[in-house]
Amino acid sequence: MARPRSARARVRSALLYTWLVVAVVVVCFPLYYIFEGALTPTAWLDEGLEGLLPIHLTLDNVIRATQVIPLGHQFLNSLIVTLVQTFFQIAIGIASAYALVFCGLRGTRALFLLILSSMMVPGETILIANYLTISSWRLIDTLPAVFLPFLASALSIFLFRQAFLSFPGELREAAVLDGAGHVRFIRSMLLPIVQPTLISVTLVSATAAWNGFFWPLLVTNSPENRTVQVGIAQLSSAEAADVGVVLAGAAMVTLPVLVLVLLAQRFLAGGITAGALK
Amino acid sequence: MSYRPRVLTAATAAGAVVLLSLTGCAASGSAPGADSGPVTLQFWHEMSGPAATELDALVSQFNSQEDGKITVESSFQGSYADAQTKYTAAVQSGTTPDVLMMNDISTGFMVDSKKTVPLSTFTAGDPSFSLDSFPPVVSAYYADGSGGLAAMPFAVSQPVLYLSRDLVTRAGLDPEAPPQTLAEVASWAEKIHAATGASGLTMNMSDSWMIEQMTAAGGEEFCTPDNGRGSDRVTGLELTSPSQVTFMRQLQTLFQDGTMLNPGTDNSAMVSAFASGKVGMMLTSTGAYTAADPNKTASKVAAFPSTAESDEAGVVVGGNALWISGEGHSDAQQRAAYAFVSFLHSAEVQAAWSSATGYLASNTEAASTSTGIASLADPNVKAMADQLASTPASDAAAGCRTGAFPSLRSTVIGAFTQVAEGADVTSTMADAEEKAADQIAAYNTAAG
Repeated sequence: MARPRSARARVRSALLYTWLVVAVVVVCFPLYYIFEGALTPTAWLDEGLEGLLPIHLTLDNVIRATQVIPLGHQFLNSLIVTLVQTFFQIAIGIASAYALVFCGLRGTRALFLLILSSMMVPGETILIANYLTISSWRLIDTLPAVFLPFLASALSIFLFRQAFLSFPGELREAAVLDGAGHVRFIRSMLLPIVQPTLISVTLVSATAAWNGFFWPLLVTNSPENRTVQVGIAQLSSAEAADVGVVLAGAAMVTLPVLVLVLLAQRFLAGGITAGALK
Repeated sequence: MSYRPRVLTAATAAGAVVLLSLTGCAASGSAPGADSGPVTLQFWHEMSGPAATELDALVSQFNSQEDGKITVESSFQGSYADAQTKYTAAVQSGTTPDVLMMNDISTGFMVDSKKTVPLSTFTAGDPSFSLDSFPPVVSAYYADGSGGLAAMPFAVSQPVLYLSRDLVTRAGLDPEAPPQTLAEVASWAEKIHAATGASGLTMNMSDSWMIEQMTAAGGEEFCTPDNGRGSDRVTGLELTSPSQVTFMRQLQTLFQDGTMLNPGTDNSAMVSAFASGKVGMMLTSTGAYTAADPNKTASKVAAFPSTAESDEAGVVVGGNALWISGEGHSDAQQRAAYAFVSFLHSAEVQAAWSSATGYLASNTEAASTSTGIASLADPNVKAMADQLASTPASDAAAGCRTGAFPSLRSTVIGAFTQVAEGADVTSTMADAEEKAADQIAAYNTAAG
């Protein structure tokens, strides 16, 4: 009796592992290709299979990529944009969600729906309006133009609100009775409990800020005011692509996000489904 | 599939034109003509990769030559579509660049939006300018109503036929006597495929560019009436003429029997496939030369095959041109902009640009410069230059001009992709004609 069952179990686990291996290969191969290609001369990459083996490694592509565009400066710009944009999205998200959930204001449901509805407006439709606003403030081709329109994010307000709703009311009452003010309560009680949401919202905001392309392209002109995503776009060309240099650029912009996500990945998936669980 | 979204796209493009013509009135007219002071010019371009590096070098060369009197600040603006969006926004906020590079098929849009000064306004008073310095089909492509040019042609390309010497020879064919008609190309492709197992032929399938070129290569007009080159503007596309149906059936057979490689939307994969000896022949831009054949010896470049006998037959030029902004830019800035685009057209610059990028020189005198002579020593480059010089300036070869063009391309390639997969040629392309006519009508109505 035991024999066939264990054989079946073995087949099942073999199938499971095969499937997992396939999934891992599908997910990891593009990443492998970016990093291997970044370090392999284009001539080898054009050879097909042989170019996929990490046997001709050199930093040549990376060096050439940095010669074409001021990557160091643009990295700094991207970093500033990401930090400022993420900080404000988190701060405004926490404050708004707190007001919606704990302050007993009237009409919060309508207000919340209004905030949610702003997520349903496609970004492309307000692009030109935003451009005109930024332009009338004489901020075209400056770094603040890149992050100003994105300081508040409906998504982060939504995610914080869902997390705050699960906070036990009694605890808050107890804190208020003990004399905790709004800031004290948020800092000492609320945030430690919603930490997974905090981390995942930070990751989502930071990744979106880092990956921004079209808006930064639109509002900046000089290479020294541009972000690294816009910078590397100039490396690739439809007809005469130097694949190695393009991959070197891609590897350099992917690396920070990859490290960030690897460090905090266990919170990322948890945060995305946090709203759904509630 | 519904064609509503496509009509919408066309309407949006047309809406942009209307916005362009309505706004910008607030922009200050001519700033005081500060003739004596130094001028700084904003130049927006969409060149990337090696072409961007070369363009930046040319801009620096101009700046040091002007020694502070004119300083050009060049700025990369993403793809041509990105740049068109940004330009529309810039017109509304009065922040247009002094010089804008725009691609071939946006010529209709740029002319309709009336935000730039026709180049002919400047060339009329410039004795050193000569229309004869352009290959005839180039000046025909960018012609304005007055007999002059609407914009300064800069990067010029044309499609050609690339043959892999190795695969062609292995099929028992002689690369030095390349096929001249599409029917001959088809039979070569079959032979290469049968003898070597490699694909016989491939071509761009990411948009309708090849269909436009094969139409022109049979002396037919792609847009009606008169490719938009006469007094009336374009109202429809011609996709079902007898010669078009013939070449589409030939291509359909090649796709269906596996002789022809369909690269889908990935043009660089197509070029890599040719470069690594997986395809015998390739129909694509002259601009792909360095990527297709890095050592310049593995391939033979031949003229684009004709699809029908006609004196009007020839291939349309692609690439881009330089537009000079009017409103909101002082006379001094406009004159400086003209000096800059004239510099980029000069024989020496065009020779250097062409040799560094694979684009064809838009100045016929570039061939007599030392750089030009060195480039033309390569028989493949010579073949490309000869094709450009001998293309007639007919309405067919001048190509279609309509502001709706960018949205039409996806309609046509969508239909032709179905044809490649086996759909009936006449009915599929007739459907596409109908959809295209709707898109053009939406654009024309909105553009007023």
